[in-house]
Amino acid sequence: MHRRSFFQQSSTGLGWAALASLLSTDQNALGVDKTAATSIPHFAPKAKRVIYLFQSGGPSQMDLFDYKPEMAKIFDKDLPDSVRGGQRFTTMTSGQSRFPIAPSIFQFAQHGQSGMWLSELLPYTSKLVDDICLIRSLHTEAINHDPAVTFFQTGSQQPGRPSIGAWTSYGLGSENQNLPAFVLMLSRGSGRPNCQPLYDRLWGSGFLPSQHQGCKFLSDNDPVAYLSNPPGMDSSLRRKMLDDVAALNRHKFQEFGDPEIATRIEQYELAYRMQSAVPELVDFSDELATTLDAYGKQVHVRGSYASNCLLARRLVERDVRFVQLYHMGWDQHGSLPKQIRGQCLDTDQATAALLQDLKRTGLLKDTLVVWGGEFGRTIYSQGQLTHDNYGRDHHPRCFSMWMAGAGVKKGCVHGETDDFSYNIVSNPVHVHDLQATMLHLLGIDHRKLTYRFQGRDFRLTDVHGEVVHDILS
Amino acid sequence: MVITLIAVFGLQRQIHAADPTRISFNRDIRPILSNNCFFCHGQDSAKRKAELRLDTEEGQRSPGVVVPGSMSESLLIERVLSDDPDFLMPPPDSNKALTTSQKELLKRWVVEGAVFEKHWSWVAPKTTQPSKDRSSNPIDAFILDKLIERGLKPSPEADRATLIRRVSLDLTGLPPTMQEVDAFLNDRSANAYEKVVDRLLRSPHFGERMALPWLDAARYADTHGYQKDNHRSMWPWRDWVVKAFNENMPFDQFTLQQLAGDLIENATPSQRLATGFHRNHRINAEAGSIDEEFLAEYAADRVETTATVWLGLTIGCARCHDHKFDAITQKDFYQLVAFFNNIEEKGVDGVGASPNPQMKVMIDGYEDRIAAQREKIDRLREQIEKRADTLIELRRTWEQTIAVASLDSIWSIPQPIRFRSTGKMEFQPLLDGSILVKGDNPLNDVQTIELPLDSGRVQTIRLEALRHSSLTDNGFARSYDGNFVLSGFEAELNRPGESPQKVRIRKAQAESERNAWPIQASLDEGPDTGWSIEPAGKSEAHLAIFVLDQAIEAQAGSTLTVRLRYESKEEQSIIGRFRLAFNPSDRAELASPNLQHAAVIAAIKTLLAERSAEQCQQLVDAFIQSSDDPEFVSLRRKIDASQSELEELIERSSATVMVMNEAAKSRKTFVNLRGAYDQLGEQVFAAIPSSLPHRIRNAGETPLNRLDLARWLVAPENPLTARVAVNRYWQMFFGNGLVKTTEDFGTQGELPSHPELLDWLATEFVRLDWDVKAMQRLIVTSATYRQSSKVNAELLEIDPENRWLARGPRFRLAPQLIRDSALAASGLLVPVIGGPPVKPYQPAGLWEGVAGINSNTTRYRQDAGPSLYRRSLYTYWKRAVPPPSMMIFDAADREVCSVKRRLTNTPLQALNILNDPTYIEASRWLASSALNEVGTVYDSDSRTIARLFRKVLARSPDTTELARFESSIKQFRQHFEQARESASHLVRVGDSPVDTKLETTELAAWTTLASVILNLDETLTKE
Repeated sequence: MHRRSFFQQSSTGLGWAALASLLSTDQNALGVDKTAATSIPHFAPKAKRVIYLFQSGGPSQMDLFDYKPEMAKIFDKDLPDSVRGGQRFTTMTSGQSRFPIAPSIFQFAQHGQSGMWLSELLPYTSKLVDDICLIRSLHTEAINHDPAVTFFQTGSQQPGRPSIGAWTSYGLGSENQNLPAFVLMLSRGSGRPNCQPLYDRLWGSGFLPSQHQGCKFLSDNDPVAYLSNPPGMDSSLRRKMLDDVAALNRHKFQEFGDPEIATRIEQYELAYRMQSAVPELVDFSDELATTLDAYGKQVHVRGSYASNCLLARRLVERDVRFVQLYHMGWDQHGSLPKQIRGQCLDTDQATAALLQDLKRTGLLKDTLVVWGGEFGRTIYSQGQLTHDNYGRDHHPRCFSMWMAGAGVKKGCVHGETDDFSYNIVSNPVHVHDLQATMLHLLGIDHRKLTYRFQGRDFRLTDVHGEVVHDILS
Repeated sequence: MVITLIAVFGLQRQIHAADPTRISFNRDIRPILSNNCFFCHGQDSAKRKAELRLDTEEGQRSPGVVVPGSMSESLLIERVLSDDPDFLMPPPDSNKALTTSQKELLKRWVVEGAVFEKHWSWVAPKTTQPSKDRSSNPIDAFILDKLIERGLKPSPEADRATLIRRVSLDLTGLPPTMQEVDAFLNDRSANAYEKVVDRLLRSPHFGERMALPWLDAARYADTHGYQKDNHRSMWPWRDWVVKAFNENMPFDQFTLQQLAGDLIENATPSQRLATGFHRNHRINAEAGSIDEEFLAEYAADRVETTATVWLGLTIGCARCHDHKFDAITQKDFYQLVAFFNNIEEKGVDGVGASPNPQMKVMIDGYEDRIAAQREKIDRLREQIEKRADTLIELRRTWEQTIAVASLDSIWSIPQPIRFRSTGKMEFQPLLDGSILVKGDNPLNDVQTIELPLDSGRVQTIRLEALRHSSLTDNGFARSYDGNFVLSGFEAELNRPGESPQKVRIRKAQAESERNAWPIQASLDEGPDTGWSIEPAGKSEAHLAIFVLDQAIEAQAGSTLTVRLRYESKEEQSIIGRFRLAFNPSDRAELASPNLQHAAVIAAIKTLLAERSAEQCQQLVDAFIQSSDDPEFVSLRRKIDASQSELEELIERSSATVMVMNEAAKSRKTFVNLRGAYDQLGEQVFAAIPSSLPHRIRNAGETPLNRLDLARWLVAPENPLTARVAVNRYWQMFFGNGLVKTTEDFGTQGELPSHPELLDWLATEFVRLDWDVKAMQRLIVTSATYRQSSKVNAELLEIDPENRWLARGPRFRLAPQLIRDSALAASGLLVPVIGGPPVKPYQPAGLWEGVAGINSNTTRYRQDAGPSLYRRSLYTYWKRAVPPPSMMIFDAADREVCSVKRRLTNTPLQALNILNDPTYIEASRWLASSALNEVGTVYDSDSRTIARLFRKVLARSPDTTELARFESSIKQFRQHFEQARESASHLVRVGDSPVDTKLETTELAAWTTLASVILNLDETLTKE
């Protein structure tokens, strides 16, 4: 089977990994074990699509999700060594003479039928607790942003591995012929505008073929780089040009027989279709006023978290496989109360509106939604502690995330931390476990989605990862 | 002589190769065992099951495992054939299973005697000589052998136009010019092609082309990577690489100098510069990071890169545990780390442009230009002084005016005694008493300037911000927009023998203020507010005055310290050229024009007869500086401009670059348990991996160093380096290496398609003293390379990837070559070799979208002029956001070493060529050059089309193509005649001026046609 027909198939929903098995002549080029690949999906998927709401910087779990009432009694007392247990510090706090307990100043209350405890910072999410599954026992290995975010997105702290979106695109392909399989969008937090940066490798394809890299939607000019025709080139002229390119390429194909030429002809047609599909996608004028209102005023500001949330719904509506939002600004080493309020104002309403919208349209049944950052924060204060102000350093040993939608238990809380939200007491969930679980929901056995590179069958979860069956419905 | 492969084939088709039916362990068995068994029965002792090894002969011969000749006694066979899931190997839960044919092979191997072979690449290459009578180029003989063996026929030679385009792109990365094509087409001599090849090998663009894959391997970039991703200055090393290729530095020298140039006896600056190779890795600067963690990363990166580039080994696997497949232990890995672990570097240091160790590099070609510039300035000074002598009368009048002027209206300009800058900025005093700020360009800075208070009274301090050509947009600062924010202004009085005393400032006033940035804000405490100016204005200077609460009555020896704070969030918004002045009154005019040094005033007030020689000279100088005589004004401008040019030349004449060194006190190296930097195992010392052949002593009185390692890499007994290097060359020309897994020559890598050819090339490379150009010449002059790349359905079925080379190579160009070709064909290319990186067109917002705190590469500022049209090799490479048009076409991201090309075919690539201003502008230039070629009279459409087409594709269009274009150009014309405004929009894309000699609609129509050609598959392809 030649590349031409191979590409035709890939736009009908079969992933590269599965298709590789059909390509008998070049099995190794794709590095896929034939027997494993033919079976993707490995079992019936619960989720067809993913929306991953990545909260970049490390949201403070004890101010949002992980209620620790005991801490109020020991305000400004030192963190006991027994709790710290030799955990390494970053060099931002390793020089501090003491590590005073900073209880959260935010009120917690129980919500919904499930009675889930959530902070007053999340009034909108609080209304939807019965739709989400809160995991309070995530843990990771890195203590600084760069390695930690890289670890979350690619399963390795070192660069060079494919991101989870790229793996998904590689494994499952796209069901939309006019849009990329993996789209990501960035927004800046108002809590800490001067925030930690991000980098393209977080949505890169690593050693996978580069069409699996995330397609970044931009908030300036063209939503996708190079999407618009140049000034002075209208669509009729562009069509004529493309007809010429296609005719001449076909002529060449007849003479040279290289299937790559046929593929190129198709890619130019796909590009043309993208040119109309994307502007239609980002145009909110067909949305109801009530829908727009639900996301909040910011929905009208391109590039805001709220606007990206609505775009996420429109993308999954069009069967885009993996949509990832990055919201920056959760790295709150000082003035945490002020900054986290800002972050929650940016995100809480729009996140809840997105969930509600997915429910309303029925998409939540087969769409997985994930909310969380790269690590948690310390119970002790970084910098000066007062009754209304404190900061928190990075904390990899425990933190909270939530999931909702396809195949995920509703109104459930998984895992538990100690009184200090410093160590996990029960049901730890490692980053690789979370990744394995996400793939599982997509119908993929994380041990079998592999790619041969440098003589080794690489996978997202390295040689680790256990599916967290307890949170699956 | 031109010998096509097909001709040789005709002569030699009778010969048949040996029957290859006998089982070969390396070809048939090792891949099966490696892929399915070595994970538990291989090198890694920690994971080894049942104490059984199948990767060594000794292990296989363990009693009853593999009994040569006897299937029934061999447990291996019994286990892989078993029906019992508990007994079956590999176990079902390993996700591994043998196919029926694999089981057959194992059985046959045992029956045939179970011969064991060492892994092929661990054994030195054999010098098989090809039979001489076959062809003049031995490569062809080896290729023909395999073709015959497979019953395949070679293809005829490609036509000349295709061939010259192919070889020009391969050796210089640029398409041939029409003149070059014509010369080749018309050259009937027997060695016409060889002449072309030799010309290309001599081209300075050869080095640029060869540098491209090398920079990918060396993970070269212009930023440090990780989070902060600050700017770095490694480009002089990049230029070293280009030069080394152009000068045809032998590969062994190329190796020694880059890995250990600093350790070569009496190392030259060039040899030290070469060691930048191993400083190209990422360097972290994230707040809170731990030094040791990243030192471990850097050393590991160097080991992995060295292993990939020279040995073709995936040694990184042994960082956490013994290698699962290859004979590399974890200890081997850390013994290699020890070679690279002794640099005087810090772990968290990616802030400045060249973290230590670094060197200053003088850039070629500036010495003469600087000397000439100095001479020019001297001559101008002479002229101006001569004129001063002739204008005695005018000077007297000028002295009189100043002598009677009120002191209050005179600003005296003190010459600073001392400067300090927290951001390592440097200060250079200029002629007019202003200070030019140079050196590092930090995000924030606090500057302390100490000024003399010789005599008299000071109540007002004036600060001037002045324009300078070295500042952004000829503006006031080196910030993104050339504007500044002065967040704080303080003054301190220092009297001899007293501690400094803060001077209170009563009020401040400025002649220009930007909204929300008043001068008053520079007097408050906070760093978030400050003084900034309206950027739109054209004034040469912006002034602010600070009136002191109480006048200072200065005594001899007193000084005033002025502190300028630039601590706002506006990055790099630091006044780049400033001047401070004093006035004794509190009612001083803001912009009083009298700019005088205190000393000059004193001289004027001194009686003529009593003036010292020094004072006389001071007066002449001051007169020259402030007279409004038109000739003086003009000469002064010339001197100022020349001075700026000189400073720029000096600035550009040197650069800093990171290099390697050896710390005097050596750092200890330990095995890192499970790869964790803080889990130390046994201490180790630098050593060559024990399983690889070496004659070097591994233990001795003096420890081994990098130079020993480099020497071993190119030593005769090393079985890998030459093979790995020639394999990469082969990959560059044919798409795939002879070993397809360029990065892995280990047991999990693919076997070579032509093992004898690979070995011959490797030994030939060494025999030719590692002559790099000779190897390229050898390959591109082979008949194999020169075949036509047409393919039919049958051949495509048999050999879709063209491994057997029954046809010439045909694959998409590297991303850099796609852009460079368009620039070159259109005449836009600025072919300057080397220099600092440039920033061509890029969609807005890409850097800004991911930007975070404290990085100096948060905003993309596109260059103007020639920098937009340089080769892509010089495009600024920011690791966090690599150039999008490169990444869309599968460029390596330069985070880590990469030696393998990738080729995808996507809609984003189509959008890039269709819509990127780069290609629209190139289309316009193609159009106008094709139209202009025959003067102002338009040629026939068909001839213009042919010219345009040949500029891009070297060949002439055939009749079908020509007919299509002829009909299209008529339609494009018609279209733009109906849409004249659109035509003028289209031809205005890009920064270069529009060719006004041409009618806009005509130019737009041809631009559209040229864009069609740039989008053809053939244009993007090496055919």
